[in-house]
Amino acid sequence: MMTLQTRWAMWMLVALLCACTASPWESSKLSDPHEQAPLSNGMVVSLGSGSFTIASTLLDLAATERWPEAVKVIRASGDPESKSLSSSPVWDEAQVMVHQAGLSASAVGLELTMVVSLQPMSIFAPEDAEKTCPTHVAFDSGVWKLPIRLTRSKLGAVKAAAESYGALSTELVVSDLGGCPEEEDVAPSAEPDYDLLHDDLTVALAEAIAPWLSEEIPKALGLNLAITSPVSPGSKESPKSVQIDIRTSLEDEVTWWHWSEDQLIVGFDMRVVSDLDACVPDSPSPTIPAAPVPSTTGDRIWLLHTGTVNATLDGVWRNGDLCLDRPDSLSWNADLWRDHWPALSALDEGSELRARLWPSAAPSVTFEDSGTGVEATLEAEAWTVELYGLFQGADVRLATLELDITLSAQLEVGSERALWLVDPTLLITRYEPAGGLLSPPGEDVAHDLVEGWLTAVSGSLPVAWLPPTPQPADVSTKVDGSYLVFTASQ
Amino acid sequence: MVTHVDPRALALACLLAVAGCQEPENHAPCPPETCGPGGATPQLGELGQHATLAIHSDGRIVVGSYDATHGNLVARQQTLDGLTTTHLIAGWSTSDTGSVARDSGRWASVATDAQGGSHFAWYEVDRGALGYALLTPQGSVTSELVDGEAEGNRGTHTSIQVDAQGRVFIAYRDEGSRSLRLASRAPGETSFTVESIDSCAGESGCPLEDENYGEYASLVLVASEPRIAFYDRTRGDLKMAYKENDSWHVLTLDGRDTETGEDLDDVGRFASAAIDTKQRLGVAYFNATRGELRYLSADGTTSHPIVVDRGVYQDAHGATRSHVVGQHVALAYDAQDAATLVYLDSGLLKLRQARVYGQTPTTPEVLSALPPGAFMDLERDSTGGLHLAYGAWHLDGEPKTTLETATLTWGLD
Repeated sequence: MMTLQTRWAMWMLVALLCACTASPWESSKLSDPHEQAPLSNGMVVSLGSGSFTIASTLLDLAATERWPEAVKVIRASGDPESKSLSSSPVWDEAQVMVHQAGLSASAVGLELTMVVSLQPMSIFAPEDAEKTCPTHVAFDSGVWKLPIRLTRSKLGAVKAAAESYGALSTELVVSDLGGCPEEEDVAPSAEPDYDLLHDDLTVALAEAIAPWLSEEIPKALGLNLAITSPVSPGSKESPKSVQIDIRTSLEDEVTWWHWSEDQLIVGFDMRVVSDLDACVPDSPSPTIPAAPVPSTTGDRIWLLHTGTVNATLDGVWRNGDLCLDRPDSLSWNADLWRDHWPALSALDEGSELRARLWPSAAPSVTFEDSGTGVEATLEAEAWTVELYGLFQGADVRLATLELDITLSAQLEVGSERALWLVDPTLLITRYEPAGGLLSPPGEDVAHDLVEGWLTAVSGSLPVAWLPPTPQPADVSTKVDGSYLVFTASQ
Repeated sequence: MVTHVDPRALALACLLAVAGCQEPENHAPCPPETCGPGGATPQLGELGQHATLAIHSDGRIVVGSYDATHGNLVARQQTLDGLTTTHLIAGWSTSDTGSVARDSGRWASVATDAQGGSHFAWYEVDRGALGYALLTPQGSVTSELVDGEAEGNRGTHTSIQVDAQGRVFIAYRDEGSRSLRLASRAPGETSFTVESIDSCAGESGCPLEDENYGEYASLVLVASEPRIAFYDRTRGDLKMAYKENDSWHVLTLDGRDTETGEDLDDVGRFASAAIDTKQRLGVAYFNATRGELRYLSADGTTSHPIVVDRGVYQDAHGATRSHVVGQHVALAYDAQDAATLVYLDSGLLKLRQARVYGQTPTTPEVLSALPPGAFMDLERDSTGGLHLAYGAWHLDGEPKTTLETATLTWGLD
């Protein structure tokens, strides 16, 4: 069994990022931007070649799902008086099959490559207004290369946009022109301008596919991380819940993504938005200095500024979410405590022991490499714990504990990228009990009582979730400067 | 405004020290070693739990309490000559085969009649039944079982009243069906008439299979018609049952928006109903969700509850904290129809008192002179004085309970 103090410390740690029962990205949404200044590069994503290989596969699958038959390509409508349009072959609709998609990156930028084929289609000479003399064209294996740049929506979500119509490399196969009417008053048709047709097809292809790429490329790369998510234990959203906000910088002058050492690096701003609840003293929010982003290489790496963790803890505390009034999660069967705290025998039969928590200061957490991983050390000071139990039908304060505590635990990444606290240990640095209805429990007694609960809680609820990966991956953790570094091996 | 506690009333109501035991009539309980033929002083255990108080028209006070040590219902009654007599109302009975000790007296309630009689209702634990007894002015006790035992486990959360014609009404809970019942008997009748009262107050789908209501029943008589405030645990609502045209009707007083059906806080525990001098009914009760005291005014100008005390205070750091306040509340009206509420601050471990004038509550006060406790009962005497009885807690070491009485006055009121 474990101490009450440990239990609250665990509860607090559980609120580190988003103590939800499922990853917040599973039902992500993005609110309007907040005025509060963000922490620049609060989260950074670094992608290596392996991520692009996976992205290519995912794009390939997504394209097949999106266009199981063929992409319907419609001739671009332009100025009918323009020379190119007026002289290029006339066609209405083409069917283009997507056979393969790939995404690559270099210092120049991203490039999408698609292997496509054109199903036979009819074109007409511009002079053939009645469309009486079709020419049939097709191609089997064209390669379309489209330069891509990352963009951001006005809300800060990562998007992808084509920088041009791209280049389509193919050889058109032209069928016989047989079957044309041989009327004397019809002038002999000129050879269709296949170069113009090629250009038209390229433009039409880009206009058909590029909008789809806007969402699919960030998704395939795992960069669709912009989110506004409530930070509330139990995933219960309320009007005053703390919100954690992740999005790219909306400042024009900020370089929010770049290519460095064969890595695509994308930075996200992070904000923690909370109110000041009356149950906590008014105090200034901590300022978190920006820190240099460590240089990393790997297929997929998330870097989390540790200041965002403390900002989240401060926000949760400031919002009053750590002021707890006898919640079900802080209740015990009093009968099980009586051997350790004999005074409890005075309580009503079947009474539960419940707790109220009044934290007068925000908790903080530090991280350091432990050799085998990362150890989180959480410190909470000036916390008041009131223990309640049922006596003569009334819920009565039994004792009050004034506490300073330090909790240490290993930070481990489990399945589905959930972050778990493992092997927590507690140190009570100040214990000042006061009696209420009963004489208070001894420190050693309380410590023993909560041991079992600690194991149960730490094994049942993750403290946070890492962003989704396009494919399952093992994740290792380390501390580098001011950042927690999570490296996924794919 | 200052609260005064009559120092005479602070003397521990070891009312039972002066023996007044009477020989039982008709199976009246009285253990031989406490009420033997010699009229020995009764041996009393820990009193105070399930305290109940009533006042005779001549001003004599009668207090009932459960003896937690012996499992008896004990009463103390003032005599006209200023003495106090003690009576064992229930918990011990004799028969042809000997004496029987039973656990009697929990959920006790007392009311007085115009003839000077004191009527008691309580729960018989062993038999799962509602007990009733009449203590006459002469000190004799007659008792009987009203409901339960063979028929079911009934008789908790009693509340008894007697009207001007001598009709006795007892509201209580059926623990088996987790429902509310009312027993009544007119003068001359030999047995009680028992009615079952359902809990439905317009909720869709009511009744449910798992209805659970009738706790904290608090009965008042308005023009000799019963009104019962009670707690609906299934819905977390405070409700009121009343009879009209020989049919029972139930209203939701708090806990649910009756227009939208929206479920609000868990309210209604420790319901205490009272009527003012104009026969208007008010109810005080506990909001378990917020740990606060609420009150529905008797003046009829609004049906919205008044939050009398939220229990908030400022800590040394400037943060707002709160105590859990409002449990075991007792409500009574003074001669000016101001509501007085006495209740437990279970965080501070003090009794508190608040007053409500119409719709306006005063700032609650701590009754510093009184120990904390539970089972408060508050009654107004004919002169407007408010008399309190309750089980007081003594916290030096293992908590002990004693029966305390006090007279409350407010400033110049």
